[in-house]
Amino acid sequence: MTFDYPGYPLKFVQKKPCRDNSAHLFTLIYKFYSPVTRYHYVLNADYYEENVFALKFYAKKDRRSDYKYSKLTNKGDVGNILITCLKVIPLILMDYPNVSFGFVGSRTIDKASRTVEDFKNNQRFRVYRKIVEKKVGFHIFEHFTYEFISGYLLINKHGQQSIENRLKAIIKMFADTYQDLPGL
Amino acid sequence: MLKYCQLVIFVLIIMATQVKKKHIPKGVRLGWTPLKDVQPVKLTPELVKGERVAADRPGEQNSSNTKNSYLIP
Repeated sequence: MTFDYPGYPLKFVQKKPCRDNSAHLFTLIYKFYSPVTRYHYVLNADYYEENVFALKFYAKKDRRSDYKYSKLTNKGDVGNILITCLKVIPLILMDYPNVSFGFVGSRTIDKASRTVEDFKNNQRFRVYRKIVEKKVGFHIFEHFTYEFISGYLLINKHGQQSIENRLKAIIKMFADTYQDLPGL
Repeated sequence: MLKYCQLVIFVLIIMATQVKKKHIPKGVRLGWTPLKDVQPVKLTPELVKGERVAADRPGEQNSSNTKNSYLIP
């Protein structure tokens, strides 16, 4: 599968500061619409110390749900939606050229059986990994996967410190900020 | 007309006698954790162990088609 989908236009909404005294400093909020699912989506790019953005997205209709990142809409159009999310990277790189990116596959909740997927190598992570391998090269970023937590890091090659040092700093920052993987 | 009615009745009998398969939810089939049993997991260095993705994946990186389809170089 080549994931040759065009995606949809991203619209910048706002830059929202985060004042919880954590490593999370601000969020860039974008939105887009899928004519296939007929849902609006919100894409959050959370900026952290150590010059890294964490990308997250959800259907706007689920914005008040605690499980918004874990829900399945079952409306399809995953290719266009994920390509749209990836399209935020070059947009952000225009203003933050040395920044790195990370994302985690959320665990899926099965409403029918009231069960939840495991942290490790979950289905979202498997799809994200495939699409990133097809759509993100190695000229700007080094790629790292964290299968046990279904995480993916794109470390920007352009920076003052070495990639290894920046990677260690980012991991330490996330581990200090999110000391527990939440139950959900 | 009679043959048509016979056909309809035949189809209805077949549908009524078909054994309906019990749908097993995905979470049950795949052995997912019940929501009530979910617990937070403490992050440790052993858990946050990463792997570098090789740039020279066989059959991928050197393919001109793959390079052309990159959204981000």
